[in-house]
Amino acid sequence: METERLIFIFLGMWAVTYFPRLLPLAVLSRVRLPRLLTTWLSYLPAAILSALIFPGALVREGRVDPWPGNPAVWALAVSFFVAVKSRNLILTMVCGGVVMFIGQAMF
Amino acid sequence: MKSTSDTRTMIRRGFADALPIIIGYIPMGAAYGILARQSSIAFFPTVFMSLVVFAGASQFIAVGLLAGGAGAFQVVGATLFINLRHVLMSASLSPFFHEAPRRALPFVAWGVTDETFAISIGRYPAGEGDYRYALALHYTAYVSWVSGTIIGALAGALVPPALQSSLEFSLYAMFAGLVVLQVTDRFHLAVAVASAVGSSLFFSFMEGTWPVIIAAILGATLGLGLELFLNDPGKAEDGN
Repeated sequence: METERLIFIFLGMWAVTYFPRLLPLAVLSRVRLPRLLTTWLSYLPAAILSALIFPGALVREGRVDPWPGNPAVWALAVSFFVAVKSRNLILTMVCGGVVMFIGQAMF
Repeated sequence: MKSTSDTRTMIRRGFADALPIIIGYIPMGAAYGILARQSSIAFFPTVFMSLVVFAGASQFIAVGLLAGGAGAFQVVGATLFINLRHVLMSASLSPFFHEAPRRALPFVAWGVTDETFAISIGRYPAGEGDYRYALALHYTAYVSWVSGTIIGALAGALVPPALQSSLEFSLYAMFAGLVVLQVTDRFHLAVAVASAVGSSLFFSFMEGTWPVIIAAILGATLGLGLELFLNDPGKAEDGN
């Protein structure tokens, strides 16, 4: 892909990534958000993460494959189990990755 | 006034808390580097994206969109929507940075990611973290993300495909871990389940990341609705 075009796109990504991180931290010490908005925002992380996992993690060759023949189904189940039990991000990532690796060798 | 030994304690704690992030970011940065190179993005732009964007999920998605022939507007728009959640994280952090020097805030904000936020947010209420802690944590994470990218972009061809897709999967395992940390009550559980179902349904007829964005907006709105209509009135009105 053309480097100049990519650099242009990445600078656009920089702007839309950096300002959402910066502006609340810099400004919110003075301004107070309406309660409805803060409540709505408090549900947004769970909603976004969940919507990213399903169906993203279970997509194979452009289609959702939620059946046991897909190693990602097992890896995701183990990831959730380990996450609930341990509440440890790194352990969850390692276990999910290991099950994915073993699953791909088996299926 | 804060003493020098305080500074040392804060910075050391920031480095120590960064360890699990380093373990996660180096393979994840490498997975991104591999994916980008395989999507025929050259070495320099691959590393440049990690240097200027520093946002795991949106970098993976941007590579996917670019490989599918997406235009600049679509990639930047998807990135904006994916990273709007950082508004919340940045907002949650803001009360703990009242006393931080104002010139430090742009540098702290640069390193606000899902992982640095998840790990650090427990430190600030107890006074165990401040802007010096945040800078040590955030920039260690940043260096490991960029280092991982360089490793992946250079050595990508040497990594077996099964290991590579396991490394990529660990991104989803990380999301699973983060969503579990987010689900603190039945309303959040309902929001997570509804967003997953919505996103999966929308996936069959929507392009790119629109299923995620629309499902997440609907999911968060469901959470707000549940809280407004099902919570006891005393609890709903205790804020302002």
